[in-house]
Amino acid sequence: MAETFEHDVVVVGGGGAGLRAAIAVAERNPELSVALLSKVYPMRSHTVTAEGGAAGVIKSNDDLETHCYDTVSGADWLADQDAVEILVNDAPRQLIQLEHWGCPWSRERDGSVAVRSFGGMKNQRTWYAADKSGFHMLHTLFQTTLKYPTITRYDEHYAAKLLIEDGRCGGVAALDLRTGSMRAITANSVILATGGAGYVFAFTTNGAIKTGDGMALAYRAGVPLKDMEFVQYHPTGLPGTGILITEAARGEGGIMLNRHGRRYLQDYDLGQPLEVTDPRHPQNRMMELGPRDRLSQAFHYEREKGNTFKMEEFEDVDAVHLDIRHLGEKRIDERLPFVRELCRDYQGIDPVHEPIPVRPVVHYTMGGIDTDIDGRTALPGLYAAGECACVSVNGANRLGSNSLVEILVFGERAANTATEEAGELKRPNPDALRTQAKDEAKRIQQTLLNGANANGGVRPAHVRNKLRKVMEAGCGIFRDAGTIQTACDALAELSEQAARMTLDDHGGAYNTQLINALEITGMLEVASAMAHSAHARTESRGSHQRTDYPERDDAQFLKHTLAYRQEAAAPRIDWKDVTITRWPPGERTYGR
Amino acid sequence: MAGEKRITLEIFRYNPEDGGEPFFQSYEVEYLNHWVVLDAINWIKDEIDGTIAHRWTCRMGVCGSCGMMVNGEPKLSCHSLLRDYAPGPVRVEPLQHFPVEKDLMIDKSGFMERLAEVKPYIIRDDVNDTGNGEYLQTPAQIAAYHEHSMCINCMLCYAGCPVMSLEPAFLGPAALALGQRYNLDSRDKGQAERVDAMSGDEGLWGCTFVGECSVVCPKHVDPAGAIQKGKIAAAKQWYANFIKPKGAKK
Amino acid sequence: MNPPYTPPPAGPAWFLQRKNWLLFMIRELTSAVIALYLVFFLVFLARFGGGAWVFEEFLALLTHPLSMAGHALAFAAAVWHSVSWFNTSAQVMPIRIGTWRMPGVATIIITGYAPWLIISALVFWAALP
Ligand SMILES: Cc1cc2nc3c(=O)[nH]c(=O)nc-3n(C[C@H](O)[C@H](O)[C@H](O)COP(=O)(O)OP(=O)(O)OC[C@H]3O[C@@H](n4cnc5c(N)ncnc54)[C@H](O)[C@@H]3O)c2cc1C
Ligand code: FES
Repeated sequence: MAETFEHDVVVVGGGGAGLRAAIAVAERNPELSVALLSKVYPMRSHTVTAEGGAAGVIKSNDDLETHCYDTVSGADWLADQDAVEILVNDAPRQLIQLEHWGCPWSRERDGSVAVRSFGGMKNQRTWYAADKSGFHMLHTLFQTTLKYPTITRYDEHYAAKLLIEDGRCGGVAALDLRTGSMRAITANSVILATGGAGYVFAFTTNGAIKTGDGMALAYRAGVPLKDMEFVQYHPTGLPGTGILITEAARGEGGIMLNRHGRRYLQDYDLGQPLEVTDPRHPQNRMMELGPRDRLSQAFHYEREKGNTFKMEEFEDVDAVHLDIRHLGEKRIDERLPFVRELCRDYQGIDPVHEPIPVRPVVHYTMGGIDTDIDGRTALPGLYAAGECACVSVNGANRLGSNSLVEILVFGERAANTATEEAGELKRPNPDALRTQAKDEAKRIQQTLLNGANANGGVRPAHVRNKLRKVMEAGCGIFRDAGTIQTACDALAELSEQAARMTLDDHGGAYNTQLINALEITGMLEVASAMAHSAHARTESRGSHQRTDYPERDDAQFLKHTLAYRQEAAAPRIDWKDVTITRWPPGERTYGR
Repeated sequence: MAGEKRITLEIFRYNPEDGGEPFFQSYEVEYLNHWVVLDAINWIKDEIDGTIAHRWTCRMGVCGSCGMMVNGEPKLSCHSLLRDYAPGPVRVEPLQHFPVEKDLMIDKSGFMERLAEVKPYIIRDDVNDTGNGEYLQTPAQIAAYHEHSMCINCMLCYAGCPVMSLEPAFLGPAALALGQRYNLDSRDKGQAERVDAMSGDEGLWGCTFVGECSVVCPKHVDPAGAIQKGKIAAAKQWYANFIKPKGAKK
Repeated sequence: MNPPYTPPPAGPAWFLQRKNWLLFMIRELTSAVIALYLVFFLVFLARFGGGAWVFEEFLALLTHPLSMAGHALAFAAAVWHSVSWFNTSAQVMPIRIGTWRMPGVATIIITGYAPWLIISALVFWAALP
């Protein structure tokens, strides 16, 4: 049995992108009924953890052109420039819209919004709500959705499969966590907004829900995943837990110090440091405000030189210091209260008095479901937005604070396209869709719930832990053909193990172990796309650094990677041109 | 596991499908110095007993998923260091005052409905025109509501509030604080539309000011303060209406 | 599937479950003591009008150990009630100047203890011969 629910548009994901999309459909066409599906209650979505802020040109000393250039060069020219222009042009409107909906952006004394510096940005343009920007954005968006009667929420529903009929997407099969029953949630348009996949790495700022489900859903339906080899390491995570210390800490003037107390970034072509007492400090696009890929790579070199220190309490991992003491207690409490709270509660130090130990940590997936600038995927009826999608505006390296605005701009844009096209296509036969949902339920029952592997089976958590370590080892900040190949082989082996996963829980009600197992099968798909894409790109660009191919190679690789899933085989890798409009590829310089 | 110390967790178990009564199950855990209660539960689920059901997302005290009763106190389990409970045992139960769906998972639907009831969004008459830039709001105007906007919906305050068990229809601390957050926002003009839901015996006046909600709140939202301010505002409004001649309202 | 498990409803002794609930209950109960004392005070005033003889008799009653104990209890209850209310003032009526919020202790002193002391001093001063 599979209950069927009919809607016009289904939004999968209740994070910033999904909520923005749902509101956009409701506003644009109040006749359409919207299903908003999420595996966790919307306000638990990962957007809630974002700290630093969202970029949008608003001050008179800033301009759109510079934001575009910063983004394009930050992306090491792999971003599509038409998409970047859309992002940058629409950002201010989206952020003002959020302000109108109640987001408590921090303000100047005169009541206008305040902006702060961020890595790789030439001018101050990052809007912030102290250091809980994502939290406030998400709650504002969620609370605003409560205004629209046409939005029906399906909280704690896990999308397990896309329903496809007559060559187009017509809904999703979703497990209702409460009962464990499979539901067919059908619609003319389906928008995936399921977030990133950072959790496929062992050490990450991403919580356990960022398993890349939406990427796997689309991938299995034949939609290619784009630029999956580009995974962002954020330079400043807390060593034991991977909890993020926002880039805003550096935007406000925090400095990076190695074991010897040296501001080591000056040794990596990121400019010369100014004294922290100098009123011109921190300087944009320099030193601590360089882009994340370069800072994380600098850490790696420092470690090789023996300039990092070991943290005994965390299995001797290496770390450097992020020092914000000179900002003073008042400013820290005003601008970075959450950083202080996190350091005290999870690291046992007070950043007002001590420097913060940090190390690079997996943070963001630049790659994702291949979409056009209007959010369409290769599968008619299927759209994608947010971190799960790759439009692409982030190219080989995302600039901090561009993502929170990307989810708004492209969340709305995908929704607009989905709304327009929801009426154009013929609705697929609901019986066929229901049958597919029923088959999916049967498949899950047979492979995971019947206890067939009881002997000789593998605990899902073991597959997951292994997978996360494999990715860390093989596809880290620096990779080469050897490490990547090892990862590819290990992943193939893990896929076989995953087929023998054994559950303790064979019930229906809140079987969270089953959900974990389903997520793991998706994580394996996503990880494999990442590793094979990394293997195919024999150059170094942005966050993808190959020690065996250290140079950027525009002649061959000014192209997006497309990974197509193949049954029981490695993905097929294809290429797609990057859209260049106004900013021809150039040298990526910081600090000069 | 490279553990250092051992501790026993006594976890509340309830499975709606096996027809049984709830009971406590003990698990022994070797833990590291920086582990929180949530880490231990995750480890148990991963390694010993996959049937345990609990919620979590962020492990950094901001998503609000992981509220539980830890040794009888409402706590974020990702924010409660295990070592603080040594030598144990640690008793872990679902948040009180809620129906329990399974193990540590409570039924949140009632809470979600309450949130919607207070109309937690900006209400204004004018057209929502983004072309004219932002609505100005000074830091002082933000300060008027800011603490009440910090709620992560973890529902610890509902577990701390005795009115919730005596008067189950009570809107409760978080929902009332949220309504009040919008009432105090200089951009909002919707106070009149929230009055019906927020005042009355199941709203503001249901609160007897025990104050425990503000004590257990991990984010200093101070719902008790918000509610008392709401009562004062509602009382002022009532007198104003009383004094004004009939028909002159608005 | 069974319905969700609903914990048993709170009994009449619900306030014993948590320390702050108990403190709350004590605060509420002190108002009963204060109410009783006010009744006594009304009786006292009525008697006072009854002339010196009646008053003498009443005074004797007042100095009875039981009455002394009752007064001590009423005084303790009144102090407890006042203090527990004063302590809430920082929450109910926070004092703000711009973005600056007066620390709780200061608010409590300004809105509670200071006026209390001043009024008490005035009463003393007026009552002194
Ligand atoms: C710690 C941290 C700090 C950050 N700080 C910043 C910052 O300061 N500035 C910035 O620009 N960016 C920041 N980022 C990045 C940014 O927050 C994210 O890229 C962005 O929030 C992603 O939003 P989203 O809506 O795409 O996904 P998410 O918010 O992750 O939401 C995904 C949604 O999809 C749902 N979902 C997933 N799979 C399924 C499924 N199978 N079935 C049903 N539902 C599903 C989830 O339940 C969730 O509701 C930060 C990220 C992290 C981790
Ligand atoms: S897991 Fe997010 S608050 Fe505890």
